[in-house]
Amino acid sequence: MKKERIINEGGVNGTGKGIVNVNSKSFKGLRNAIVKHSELQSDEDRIRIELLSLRFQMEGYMLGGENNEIIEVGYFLKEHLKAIKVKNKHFANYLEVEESNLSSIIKGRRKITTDFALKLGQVFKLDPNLWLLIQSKNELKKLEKGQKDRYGKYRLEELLKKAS
Amino acid sequence: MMMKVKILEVETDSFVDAIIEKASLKTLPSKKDGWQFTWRSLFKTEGADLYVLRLEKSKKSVEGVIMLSMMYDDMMYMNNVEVAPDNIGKKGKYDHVAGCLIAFGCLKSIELGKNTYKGYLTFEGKTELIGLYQNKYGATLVMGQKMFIDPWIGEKLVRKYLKE
Repeated sequence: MKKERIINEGGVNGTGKGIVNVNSKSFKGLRNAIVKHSELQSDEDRIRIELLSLRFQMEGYMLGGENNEIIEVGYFLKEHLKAIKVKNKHFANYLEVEESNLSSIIKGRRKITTDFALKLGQVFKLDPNLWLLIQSKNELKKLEKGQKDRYGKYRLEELLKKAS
Repeated sequence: MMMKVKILEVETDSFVDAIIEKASLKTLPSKKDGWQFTWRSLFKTEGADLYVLRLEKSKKSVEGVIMLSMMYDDMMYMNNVEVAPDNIGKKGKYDHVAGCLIAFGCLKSIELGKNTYKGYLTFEGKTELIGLYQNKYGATLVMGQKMFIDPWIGEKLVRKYLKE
């Protein structure tokens, strides 16, 4: 006879409480165990986790983020360089861009081009679109925020009325 | 924040579109509907974030809830997770709900965790579920009933339940 599958086995877990006793022996043991476990990670492992974290942060930002703050694409780029511990100069040389241009992107004074997004996508194994989408999202957010009246006046109904 | 996921409709053996999003007091289920945890009380816990998994087509169809807290500003803790009563057992309606929620906890621990604790999803497992969480979700038992899912297993769960 075919064994029936149990759906979502273990799907109710936890203490049912909101507060965690951080002074308990088991909680302190948990923190210590993670410290010990993470010591087994190589530098390469740590870089991979950092980069994965940044990818999730960028994807999370595109999904609406945890709050409404604007995070510049340059910030994410700076954090990527920090994660791989490569200096701006070396990174710029390797990707064949001017160091001053890289620095301007990081500071939010210059836009990421499609060419540079493709290079970033290749180096960090990230969808190049993600860099450009974040950039566009921020531009739209800033424009919408500052100039609601300028864009709010455009209506399809009005256009059709004028065109007829 | 609104993340699209897929859960498995057991009857038709096909995947349906679902969403994981921040919970509001109104969207949370109550004990009178057969849920075990008092989600509406837990919602008031300071520093905790509650997320619901619901069908994309209906805001009212909450299929599961997860409660996450960032401990000491660096370590992600899954206080509680619960799958809707209709989704548990041999006659459960939608499968992968628990998997999606736990994987979501892993994603958040990679995204928001800091330093040594980045990527470690921590929790306290019910005694009878410790073995299941070790085997099914690759969790490590530490002390008492405290457990963690490390970043490597977490990444695999994210890929399995959220990205494919």
